[in-house]
Amino acid sequence: MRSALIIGSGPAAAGAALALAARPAVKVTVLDVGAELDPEHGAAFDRLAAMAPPELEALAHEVPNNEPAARSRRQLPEKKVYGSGFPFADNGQLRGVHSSEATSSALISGAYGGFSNVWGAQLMPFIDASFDMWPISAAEMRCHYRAICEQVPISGEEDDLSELFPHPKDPSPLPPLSPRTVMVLSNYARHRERIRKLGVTVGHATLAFRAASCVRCGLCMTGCPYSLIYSSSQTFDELRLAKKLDYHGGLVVYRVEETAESAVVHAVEARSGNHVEFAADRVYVACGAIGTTRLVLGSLGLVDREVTLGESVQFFFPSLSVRAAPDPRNLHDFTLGQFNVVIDYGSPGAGLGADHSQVQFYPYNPSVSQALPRFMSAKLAAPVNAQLLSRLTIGLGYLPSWASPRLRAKVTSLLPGGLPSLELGQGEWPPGRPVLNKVLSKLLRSAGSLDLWPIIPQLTLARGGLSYHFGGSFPHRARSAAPSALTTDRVGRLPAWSRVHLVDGSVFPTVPATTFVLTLMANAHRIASESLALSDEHVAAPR
Amino acid sequence: MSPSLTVGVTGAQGYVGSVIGRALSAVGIGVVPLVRTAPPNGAGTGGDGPASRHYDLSEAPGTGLLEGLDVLVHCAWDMRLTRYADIWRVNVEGTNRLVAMAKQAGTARVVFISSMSAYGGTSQIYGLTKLACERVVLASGGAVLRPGLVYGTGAGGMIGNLGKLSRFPVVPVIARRGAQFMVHEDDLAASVLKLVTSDEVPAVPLGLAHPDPVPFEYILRATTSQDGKRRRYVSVPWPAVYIGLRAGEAVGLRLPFRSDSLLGLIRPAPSVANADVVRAMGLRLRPFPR
Repeated sequence: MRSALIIGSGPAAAGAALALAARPAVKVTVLDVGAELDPEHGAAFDRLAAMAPPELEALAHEVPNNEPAARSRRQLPEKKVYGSGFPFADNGQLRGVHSSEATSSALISGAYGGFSNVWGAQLMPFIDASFDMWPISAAEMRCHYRAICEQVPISGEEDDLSELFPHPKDPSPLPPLSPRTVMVLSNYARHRERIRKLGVTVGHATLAFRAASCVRCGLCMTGCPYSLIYSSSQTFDELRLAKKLDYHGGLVVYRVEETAESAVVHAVEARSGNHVEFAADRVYVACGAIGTTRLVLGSLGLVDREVTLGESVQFFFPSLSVRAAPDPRNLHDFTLGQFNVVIDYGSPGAGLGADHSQVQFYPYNPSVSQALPRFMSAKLAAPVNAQLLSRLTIGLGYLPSWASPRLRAKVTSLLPGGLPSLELGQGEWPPGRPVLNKVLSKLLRSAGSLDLWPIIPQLTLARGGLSYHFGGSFPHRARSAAPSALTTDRVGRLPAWSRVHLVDGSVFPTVPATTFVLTLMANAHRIASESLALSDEHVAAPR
Repeated sequence: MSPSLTVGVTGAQGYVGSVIGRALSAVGIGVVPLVRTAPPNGAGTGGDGPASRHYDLSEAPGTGLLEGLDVLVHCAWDMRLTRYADIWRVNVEGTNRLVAMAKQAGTARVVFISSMSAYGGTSQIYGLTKLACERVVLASGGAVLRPGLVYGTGAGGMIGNLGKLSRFPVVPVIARRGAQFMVHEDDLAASVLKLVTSDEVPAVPLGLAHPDPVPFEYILRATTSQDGKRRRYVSVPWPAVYIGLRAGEAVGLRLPFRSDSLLGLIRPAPSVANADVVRAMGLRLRPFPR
């Protein structure tokens, strides 16, 4: 029997696990920090899950710290799950990570399911042209997209966007949309030709959630009480239940290495501090791009060697409409992103290429009210507040990594028996931010037709890393390129290793502006599938 | 579908609902009117069918509302409302509740009577809210019909309003260049019957109107009562009428014609949706008499 170790439990780890666990001849073991919801918030979640609206909504307000917490007035609030920030908490995996002011340091999740506990659930493939900068073709990725979508629930609609970004599998219909979304999509239909000529395409969001069971409680952004939004922890739960893998939580992996016969993983038990080792034929590293970068640089002893990662940088802005929709506070729509706008800023007339930006639009949720200036919550301001909220939509946009500042990562010192110290920073923006300006200009030119006016002075650029769409510290090298120390082959192997595969965003040659997780899972699935042809026999076991 | 069907019809006391109820009863289908106010004879569709049940779009549906129903034909729509928020709250949320209840109750099919005003590109609140309801019905596996302007004996709705307008000696022509798609009430009823009794229904909205648009002025002349009086048809700029109606609505006047309905005349659907599917189902729609 062949053996495989997966490090991590985020989406990339789930993609690899789905490929490996499908083969009965492979013994799969997962090593993970595996932090879960604390008992207090877990109990609140259990209470919510047993309720139905409207009792559910009343009870949700009693969950401690349920609403997202603002880091600062000019930053998006940090999402919570059932009132808990456990996906961002330090369970040993963040110790020794230092970042500059412009960069977040909480970029490695120790949660069971990683950051997929708090993601936006948008699930679109890259367009074919995005793979032109990859050594893997779009055609090679298709079967892996399909394989992932067989396991992940997908909800969406057929429209102009799905023509550009085809659904790998027929989606379930989305739940009822908000009045604002219905208006914008209707405006788009009326002015479609004019808007398309501008290089702007509008369509429904495609989301990883079980829409058919949605009860429209409006609690998506604080944690679905019925776990309808996909998290990679669900994949691991299913695989564990089916006894298709062994799972070891509470472990912080700090080094990987290879011997002649196997790959070896060194970890420390978070609770006891005991050191343990695991060995297997193959190791699949899926700690998230920053976590993997730290682990690899430390394992290879590369101190003070700076690597850079591409990030699809995030920006967000409020949009106002002239025509009011019903006051969203009285409605109970699902609060994930409902529609997307894709802006082609590439060569005119060439069709949508890799040079595009995506903006996801979110309907009202209670954190929007909280983000308004304090005087808006005064009784006297109530009529103005109602008028504002009935016209407000929040846009969350992304630029491709080649039009965004890069992230810098450097191991500054090694720690025997632990993770090395890591320094994170953000590179410079291209002067004048020309791509961002082009994107905003097109949004403004289509604003009248869509009745969706971006308030540009309120636009905020997220701190480095906070898009969570980053990678490429060890990119897949081009087919014709000679191996270099910090590039990987098509199965995610650095030249120094033959049994250790990097499967997360760290191997992405580029990060386009469209949604990231489906490709993350599909590429991990591809690497794991292709690696099986290489594997030798060895059973994973603690040494 | 079984020939011994029981069909619930919401809005069965309205013009379209009553036409549908009568047509279904005529072929031996049990019709249960789901209505705001029970009619004096307890049935409401002119037959000796099952008793009506209380249903109000603005209220949570009562337990057992859909009990024993094989099909639900949903025609109800509160046309008294003028504010988007109210229309959404009552009609869209009400329809969502009803469709969810039909799913729970195991009602085999929901047939939703939408409107030609519902098309991608509409700015009419009526059209936008009908569109929102259509999505929910289609997602539940139901059928959606988009009738054009319905005409026939004793026509109500928009045609009824136009008929009232054309009784005056001077008839304002608001959208002289506009045109509408028309459907006869018998064709509408036959189409609903087909959807009620078919084993499968198309998963797309079905535009139900003859594909030749009829000029608005022609419709007005055709609905004018034949009382021998001479009438003058005078063009009126629609923005003036629209502003007047909006102003009236803003101060709470109950007007016979809503500003939003005017938008439906000014910006009608550009074509009949999925007319090819309707034809393939064997439904024949007569042209408007000229």
